[in-house]
Amino acid sequence: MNEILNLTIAEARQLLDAREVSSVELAEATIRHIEHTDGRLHAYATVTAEQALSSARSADEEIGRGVSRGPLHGIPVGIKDLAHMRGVPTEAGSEVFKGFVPSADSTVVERLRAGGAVIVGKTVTSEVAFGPTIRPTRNAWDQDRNPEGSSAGSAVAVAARSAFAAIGTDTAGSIRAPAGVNGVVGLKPTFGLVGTSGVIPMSPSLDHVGPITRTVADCAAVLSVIAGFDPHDPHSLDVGIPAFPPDPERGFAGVRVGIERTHLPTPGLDPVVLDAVEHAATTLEGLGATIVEVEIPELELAEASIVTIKAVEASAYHLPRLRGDASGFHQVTRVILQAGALISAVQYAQARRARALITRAVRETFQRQGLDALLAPGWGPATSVPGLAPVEHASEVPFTFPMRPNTVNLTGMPAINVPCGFTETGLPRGGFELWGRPLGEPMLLSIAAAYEAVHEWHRRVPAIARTPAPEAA
Amino acid sequence: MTAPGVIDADTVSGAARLAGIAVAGEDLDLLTRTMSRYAEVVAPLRDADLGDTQTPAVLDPRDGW
Repeated sequence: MNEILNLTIAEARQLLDAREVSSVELAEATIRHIEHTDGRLHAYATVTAEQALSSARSADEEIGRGVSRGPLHGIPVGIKDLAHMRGVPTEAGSEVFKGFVPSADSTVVERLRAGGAVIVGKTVTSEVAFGPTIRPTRNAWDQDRNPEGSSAGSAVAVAARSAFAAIGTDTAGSIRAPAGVNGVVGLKPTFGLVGTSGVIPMSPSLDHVGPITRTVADCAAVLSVIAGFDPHDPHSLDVGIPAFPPDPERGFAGVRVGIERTHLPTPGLDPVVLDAVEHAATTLEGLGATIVEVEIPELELAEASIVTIKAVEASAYHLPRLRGDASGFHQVTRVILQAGALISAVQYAQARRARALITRAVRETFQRQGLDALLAPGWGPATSVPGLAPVEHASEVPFTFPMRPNTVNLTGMPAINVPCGFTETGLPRGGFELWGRPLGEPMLLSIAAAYEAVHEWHRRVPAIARTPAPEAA
Repeated sequence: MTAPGVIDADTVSGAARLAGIAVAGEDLDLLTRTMSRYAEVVAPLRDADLGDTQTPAVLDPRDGW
């Protein structure tokens, strides 16, 4: 691997601005690295090499003239293959969308282009973000292990140095889960902060678009580019954008972080994850934060609420396909979507009432305890699963991630997955999450950055990224 | 008549017809198992006392903060 691919976005930015490296060099090295590794990882559905090099040349020309488009100007990034990109196939991991080429960019791609980012390709998603991955992506740290979540392509690309950052979507943990098991940072922003128009929906009231990066500062950089009002997204927030760069000088005196040990951990959760949460609490306390024990019994309703809302809304979106020729869907996807159509309107209404109840309970806990953030379990180390092999005829249909971190998709609060070390066998231990108040991203990013600075786990590189790529001819 | 709470292929097939979806064969088997699993997952919601909780008309995460 070319060592420039190990740079963080912040480091690459400095070198680009000093003209010590060019955007074309970054893009060429990234594309060569993808060609060298993606046969084993399958992080990319489409590589847009020509477009990327053209964007990189434009970026170099602009930077040379002293034009700055912001932190991503000239930086190679990947886009989950749910987001429309003009002139490039957007197939959502499904035969149903095979050959679909959008004529316009999604809002997130539009913002990235305006920010001068160099889009190197579309990253693999599980089928319509709900079903299996037809040709599975492999974990960046161990190719026999699960990469988790529908944004696995984005997380694996970032971890394996096949992109400096990537865009994912999170309806029920699909940014945070793959970020966790691939040892990178994933942020689900406040609902409505990042526009979703032009992104193939899964469940419009739960869908979020957000960044996956190697460091917290890089996460802040991407968020600053993609956040903002989207007039075509009915849920978009028309608000001023908070200042996102994490403040490394920020003291933690007075910062209050909640921990919920009773109702938040999903029964049967891997003890490694619980240890990670406790370790994070100790670290944050050592930095000066006050850890506050809280109890939110209403969290017990989160899985039932989200599984209902998610299935019904996804089914409603795909209903014309279900009623027509649905044979293009993988059987597992088709059946999950059919299931959503069978859930009654009363059940859906009850799920939404539960959502309101949970949201109020979490909000009142924050307010009563004066919390700035809540520590939550993330996803555990990657599992080795038979599902990695293409599933021809599934015998079981997993209905959802049985994880209460999905609660934040119900409440709309921001949540960030923070890498928390490695197992004895060298796998990322998963991560813990920090949940914040709506539009509380600056606080979350500051806390996460302080934790990251203590451990510096982001400097480790997966073996697949360390193997040398053949030099360009 | 199928007893309340029992989810079998007939129940699922009838619900699918109501939804305007044709399901048969292996899909019906898998869908029946899926709906049984769904019933387990949502049991806490079925039994929950939601009191007078109302659903907001507009989803705005800032509401009440």
